[in-house]
Amino acid sequence: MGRSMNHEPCPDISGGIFRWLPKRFLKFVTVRNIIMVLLFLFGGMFLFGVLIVNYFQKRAYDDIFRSEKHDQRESFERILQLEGSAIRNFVYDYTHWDEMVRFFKMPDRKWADDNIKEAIATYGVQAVWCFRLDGDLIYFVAESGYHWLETIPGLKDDVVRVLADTAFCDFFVKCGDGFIDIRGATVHPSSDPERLTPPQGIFVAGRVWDKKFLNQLAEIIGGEFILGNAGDDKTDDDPGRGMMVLTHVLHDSQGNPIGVLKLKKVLRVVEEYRGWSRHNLAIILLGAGLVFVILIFALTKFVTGPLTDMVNALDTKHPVYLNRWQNRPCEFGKMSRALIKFFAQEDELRKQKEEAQRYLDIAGVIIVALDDKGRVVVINRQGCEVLGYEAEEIKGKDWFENFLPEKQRAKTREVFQCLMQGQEAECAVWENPVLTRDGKERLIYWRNVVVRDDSGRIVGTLSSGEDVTEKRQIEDALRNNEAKLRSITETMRDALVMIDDEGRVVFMNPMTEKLLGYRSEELMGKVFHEIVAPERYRPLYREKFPHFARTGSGAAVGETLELPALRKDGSEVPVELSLSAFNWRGRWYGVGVMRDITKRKQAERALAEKAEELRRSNQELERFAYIASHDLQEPLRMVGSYVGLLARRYKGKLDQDADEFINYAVDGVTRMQRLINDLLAYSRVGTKGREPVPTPSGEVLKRALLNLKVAIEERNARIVCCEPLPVVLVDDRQLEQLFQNLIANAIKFNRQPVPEVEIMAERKDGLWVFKVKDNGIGIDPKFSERVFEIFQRLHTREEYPGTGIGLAVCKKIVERHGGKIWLESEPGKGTTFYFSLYPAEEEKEG
Amino acid sequence: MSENRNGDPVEILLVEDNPGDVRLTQEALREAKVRNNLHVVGDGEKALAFLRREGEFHDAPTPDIILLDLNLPKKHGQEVLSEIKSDPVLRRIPVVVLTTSKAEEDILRSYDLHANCYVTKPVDFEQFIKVVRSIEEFWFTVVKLPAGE
Repeated sequence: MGRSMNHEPCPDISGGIFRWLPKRFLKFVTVRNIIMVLLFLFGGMFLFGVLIVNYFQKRAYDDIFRSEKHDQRESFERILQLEGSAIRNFVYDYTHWDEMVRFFKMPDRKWADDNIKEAIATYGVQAVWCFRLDGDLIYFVAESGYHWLETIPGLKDDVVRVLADTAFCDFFVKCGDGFIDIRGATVHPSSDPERLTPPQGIFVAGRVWDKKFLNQLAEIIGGEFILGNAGDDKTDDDPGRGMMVLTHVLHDSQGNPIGVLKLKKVLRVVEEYRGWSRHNLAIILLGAGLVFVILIFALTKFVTGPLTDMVNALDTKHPVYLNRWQNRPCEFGKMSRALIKFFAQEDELRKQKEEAQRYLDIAGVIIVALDDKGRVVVINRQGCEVLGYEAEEIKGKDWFENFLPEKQRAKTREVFQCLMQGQEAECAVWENPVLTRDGKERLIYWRNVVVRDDSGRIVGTLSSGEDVTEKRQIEDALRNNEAKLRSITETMRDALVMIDDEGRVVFMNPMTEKLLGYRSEELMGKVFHEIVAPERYRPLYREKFPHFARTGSGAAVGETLELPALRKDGSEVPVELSLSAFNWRGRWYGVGVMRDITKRKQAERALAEKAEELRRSNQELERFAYIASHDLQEPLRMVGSYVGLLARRYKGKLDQDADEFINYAVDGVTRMQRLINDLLAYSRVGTKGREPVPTPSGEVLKRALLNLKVAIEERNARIVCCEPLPVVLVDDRQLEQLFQNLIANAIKFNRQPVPEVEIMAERKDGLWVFKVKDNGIGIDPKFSERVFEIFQRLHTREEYPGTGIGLAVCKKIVERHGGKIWLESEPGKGTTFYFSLYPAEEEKEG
Repeated sequence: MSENRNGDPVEILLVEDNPGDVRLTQEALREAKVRNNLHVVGDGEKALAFLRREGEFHDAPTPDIILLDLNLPKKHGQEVLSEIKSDPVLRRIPVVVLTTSKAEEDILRSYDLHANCYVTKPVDFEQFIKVVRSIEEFWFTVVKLPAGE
């Protein structure tokens, strides 16, 4: 039920007044977002208003700018006109003067200096030129510092050309970084105001528009005057800064523009006006921004923040989100308190529900209620799970027809009818299989009660059913196991006894009765060792048993022991006892398997006796060989010595036969003695050998080779030793003998001009295998065993002298050290003897 | 025949119970180059008595060399050797131990009784003579014995 709540579909969000929004945007319709949007709208409108006001202000400002500029232009034009009219009047006055006419007719420098030079400064003119009509300059005068004006290129021609047509000329000439305002006129007598008479000469005045002049202008009108080239006459006003630009184009003599005079001026009125309006705008915007920020802050702090917490708390059902609010007096505080109360109630409810659910789950039984027709009214989840259907698929259906195996239906329905008739006691429990959705059968153990209505009429049944399928299978398996175990214990050939932690027999098999002679009932429940252990062992058992009872361990546990057991008839039987322990429900039990080993014991004893006998006899034999060979020496020596004495004293004095007999006797004695010595040496390998110790075999080999020095040199033999040879566990004197015998043989049984013997060792299966290889006559493989037997020879004494003891001694030495000796040979090519020895302890570890 | 440094015959004490060996020794010494007096005693006790001039040996000479068989009745040759070598006077007399076998010699060596020489009794007479000769040469011509003896 708890789970279904989580999967409840979300209620359809219609969106209210926002229902026109596409569905996926509805999640953005939150109080916060709405207020934010409204705030932004408000801000936008505010901004829009400000912009409109600003627009009109700008228009007003532009008007002011324009009219101001217009005024300025008038002043500008006027001052230029004034400046121009001064020089124009000067030229006019002088060219309409009879004195001047006379001057041209009769130039008088003094007169000119007095009248013209003086006038220059007065009229603000920098230079005056007087040309004849043909262009001759008859007089020039300039303000000091302006004498360079005398030679302006092209001035004469321009003036002459222009004044040929008109009475006056007015143009600009470019010079240096400035311009010169040139004004000229033809000279006429004063009686000719219309200047209709032929001109008498040309009078030209020049004013230089240089920095000084511009400064003079600036002082009058303010602003900044700049001279520019022709074409540089754009009016780049900057109303934003209140900056106005006025221009006046300067023309040359042919009417072409050659320059421009600009006036740049900041209109102070405009600037002040503008400054004021910008300031206002800034204040308004700042104020509006502040209000906006405060609104956002307030919104977050007092509305959307708490709202989010409320939503989170409701979402997660976790009151931790409400901690901040629950003590506030505002609506959110009230809401928090209400929510906390609600959560607590809900939690309580949930706990109760879960607990109830848990009880039902723990019960783990099927609960089915049927109506009087056998239709399912109620089924719990366990029931659904066992059957493999959803509750809805089961409810209302006939229980017997749908959920029972066919062959069980009739029988089970009978039980149902019986219940419906009120025979509750008879049908309280019933076991029958049910049919699951996938066609399997589960065995259910039912407990049934009837359901009655208020009037006491039986209206249905209520059953709780336990799925016992596995239980029955386990029971079956248990029964089978038990039968198997019983068969094993009953038929096994060993006695099996199980005791508890007090030593009492809790189980024994029939073989135990046979082995010990007690009947089962005589031992069951009795302390086993008090009956079966022989009297002398009981104190030991009594002492050790408590330890076993506590820990389940002991010296005998897990071991197989041989000990005597006491039979009922008082006799003892040797048994082999295997003891094991196991813990069951906190108590230790012991299981002992006993086997009668009387026969084996006898066999073992016999075997041990035989072995001891053998050892003794071997020892005796060795002693015998030693003593015999030792004591045999004595009489033999007598025989030998006196036969020798005989030979010495009487050789040639007796007959020839006697000499020969004596020779044979001497020879026989010598051989006999050699045999005895060899036998003695052979027996001494066993009796006089010393304990094997780690021995460097290389050094032993050197000693052996030293012993053989004569033989080696005589035969010119070559001995190759593949160093290094290992350290082995051996009696060094016997190893020396071993090397000596093998190498001596290798040289002896060799017909090569240079007998070669090679000695090496290699590690094999944890042993060191030595190899003594020669290039001698070789040994027929069929004799490869026989050569190691004592006094066995393959050649006559005449071919190779010797008694045939050497290899027998070798074999005995190697075998005494636990090794093996063998050979490989190819007759005619050579023989290789191998023998193995144990490595020294430290080498084993390596 | 040569003599010892005083020109006197060499006094030899043979301790040997086997008459066969005694005879052999006598025979061998007869053929020796050195003039010698061979005194023979049959057991260890008598040998010590001879050396100490006790009883019947009160006038016995001090031998120049002792040939000692080991296998003796009453007192074993080992004991005799040990007593000779523990006596401050007698210890100066060189002792040649006659052994039956190499094996016996090994055992004796292990007792470390300071015999001056070990000789294995040879099987034939020729060898026996060689042995006796080698003893002679060794003791009377090569080795300088302590002065005054």
